[in-house]
Amino acid sequence: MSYQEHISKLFLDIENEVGITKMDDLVLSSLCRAIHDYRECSEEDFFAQFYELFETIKNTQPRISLVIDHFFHLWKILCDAQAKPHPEGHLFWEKKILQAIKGFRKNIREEKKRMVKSGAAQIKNGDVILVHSLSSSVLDSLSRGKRKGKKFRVIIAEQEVEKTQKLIEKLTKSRISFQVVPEYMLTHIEGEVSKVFLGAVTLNSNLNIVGDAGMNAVVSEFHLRKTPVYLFMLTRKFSLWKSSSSHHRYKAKTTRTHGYMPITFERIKFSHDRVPHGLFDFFITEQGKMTSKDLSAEYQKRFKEREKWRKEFFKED
Amino acid sequence: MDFLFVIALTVFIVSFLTMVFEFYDKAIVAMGGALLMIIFRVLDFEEAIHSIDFETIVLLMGMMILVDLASDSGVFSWLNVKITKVTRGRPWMIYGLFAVLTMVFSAFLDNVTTMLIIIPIIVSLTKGMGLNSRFFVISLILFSNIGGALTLIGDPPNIIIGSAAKLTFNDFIINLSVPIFAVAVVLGSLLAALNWCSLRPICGNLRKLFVTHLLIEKIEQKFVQIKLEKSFVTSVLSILCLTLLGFVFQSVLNFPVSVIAVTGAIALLVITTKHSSVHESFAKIEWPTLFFFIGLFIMVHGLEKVGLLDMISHGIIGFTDDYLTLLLMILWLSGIVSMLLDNIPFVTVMIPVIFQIQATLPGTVDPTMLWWALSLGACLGGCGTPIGASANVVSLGLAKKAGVKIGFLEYMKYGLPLTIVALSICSVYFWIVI
Repeated sequence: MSYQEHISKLFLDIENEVGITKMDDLVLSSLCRAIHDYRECSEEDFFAQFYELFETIKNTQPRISLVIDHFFHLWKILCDAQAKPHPEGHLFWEKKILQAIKGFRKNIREEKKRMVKSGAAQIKNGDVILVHSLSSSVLDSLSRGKRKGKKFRVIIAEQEVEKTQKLIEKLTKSRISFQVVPEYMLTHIEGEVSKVFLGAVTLNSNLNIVGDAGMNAVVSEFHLRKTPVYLFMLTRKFSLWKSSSSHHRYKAKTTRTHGYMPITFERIKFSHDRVPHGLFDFFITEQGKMTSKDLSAEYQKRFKEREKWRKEFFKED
Repeated sequence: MDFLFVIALTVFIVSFLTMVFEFYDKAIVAMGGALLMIIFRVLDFEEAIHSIDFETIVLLMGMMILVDLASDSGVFSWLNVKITKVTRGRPWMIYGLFAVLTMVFSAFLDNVTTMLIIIPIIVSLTKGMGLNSRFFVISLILFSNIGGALTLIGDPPNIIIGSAAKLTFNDFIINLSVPIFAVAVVLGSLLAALNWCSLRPICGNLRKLFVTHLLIEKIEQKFVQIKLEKSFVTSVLSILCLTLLGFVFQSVLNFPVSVIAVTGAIALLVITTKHSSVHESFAKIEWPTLFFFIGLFIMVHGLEKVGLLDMISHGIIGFTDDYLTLLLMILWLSGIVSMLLDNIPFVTVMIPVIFQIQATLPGTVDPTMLWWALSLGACLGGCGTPIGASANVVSLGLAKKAGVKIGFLEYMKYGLPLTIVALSICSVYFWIVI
């Protein structure tokens, strides 16, 4: 397995385990420790190795926009360093990078806090909220709503066993009452649901939301019923590059055996779903509640900014 | 040669071969052999019951309950992950700290439990870092066997020897610490020298450092998902410490080690009622292992009764008059047998033989040395081959499951020469102390 494939697999495993935002935090803390432990004196060596790492991060399958975004900012700091060498050498720029990482982590915490506050404000007494993705933003918003004394109930649309178990653990810990319904049986309870809260991995250049596998069916079903569907996502998660069809979807084929008959068959699983952003009614971001039109405008603005950067620092067209 | 002699010998040889070639579970074979000894009237039922060393059985049972509850508390996995973090991905530190951890765990827990806790983490870490996982797995198997040889409770042969010879927990540590630490240091250094490439620092490689730290984070998420419950962990650690203190002060307390172990187990069950179920704890006792021991004790008593063990001991005594040669014979014989066969039946057979040899020794020599030769040979000999000890089999199975396949010959490439080195170090030790 190449380094590139290894990092991709590691990212995918961690994302499945803890979700994107926490994964980003783990990546940043790992980078901090790696830089701290790095013992090579030459400035050029450090820059070269950081660039190699950045290239790997940029090309993981699937690409993780939140992580890439942070590496973009860090690379910008190093590009400045190359333009203005410092007498302390790479140690000075290491310090700068460590400071920047500290700043990213602080910013994310604050942005998330704002998003959670805004998310909790959407909960009304008597609401029945359907959740599906393992999203810390959704779960924290629900916990905040509960702490604020809102009376509501949650239905978990059952998906991958591990993710569903984690949702159950978190809701139990927050003392929020819930029921679990398999995601393919949601039609039987769709009348009860007043709101759908979902988390996402990213928004790509086709304006598709990338989220947990199974999300497309859930969103489509409640969109048809005109039940408001809320998507929780930091705008930092935007994928600021031209997306291709393969991005954000990892296919895994396994051969399985029938439980008690001598039959083997191929089973295909996908890591993520892509859902057109227009199917969501509201977007809860660190900037508050947004419509799909607002979100699209924000995305275009950021995409243009990043394009300018890319041209400046990577000489990309 | 009388009829009973032939019957007893045939039953034992057939049972032994059936165990070696694993035609049936060894517990069934041992119990079957014991039953045949009774049916053919080599032993009557009363004699069979009296031949069971209940001290060994009860000590094993007590330790199984203690170790199982301690593992359930998650404290060992937690410690494992913390040590992984402390290494900061430095290969030589991973090697050194995990070698020490494995030895300590193996000395006080059983070797199989130790490897069940350590191997998945070490494979996940070293494989992810692109290091030679095979080297780490083989090294830790060796350290597990070495650590297990240090204490009375570390390895089943020591439990059998300690119980039969009435040796205390401290006797084992006092007499075996010098050869065991010498073996650990020499083997550890040899392994490191042979695999220096895998232990080279990675501090000049940012990509490797990054992936290593990320892996450590992943391991922490994966292996310590359940938060430790303070009260459960405190109870487990307190009772484990008290039990170990009980072993250390056994001669002052004047209780057999089995009573101390069972007291610890029952106390832990009482204290942790909220977190554990007595039914589950009792169900997790390895009953087949205990019945294997029971059957074995009965069969060996049958051999003793028909005079076969007398013949073996007289043969050994007749071979040499020199005590050092006798010690080395027992050390190397038990070492070689343990490489190829299960060391438990061998040690069980050797117990009465050693007693008889001791009876013929002059008063000027220390007769307990024979027990240490048997213990070192049986425990360290297990390092030689992949089938030499249960911990080897379990560890190689776990590694294979995690994608690291280690073949028989590949293991032997390290295991066999290093076991010969270990037994040679023990030989030098006996030469010095005699």
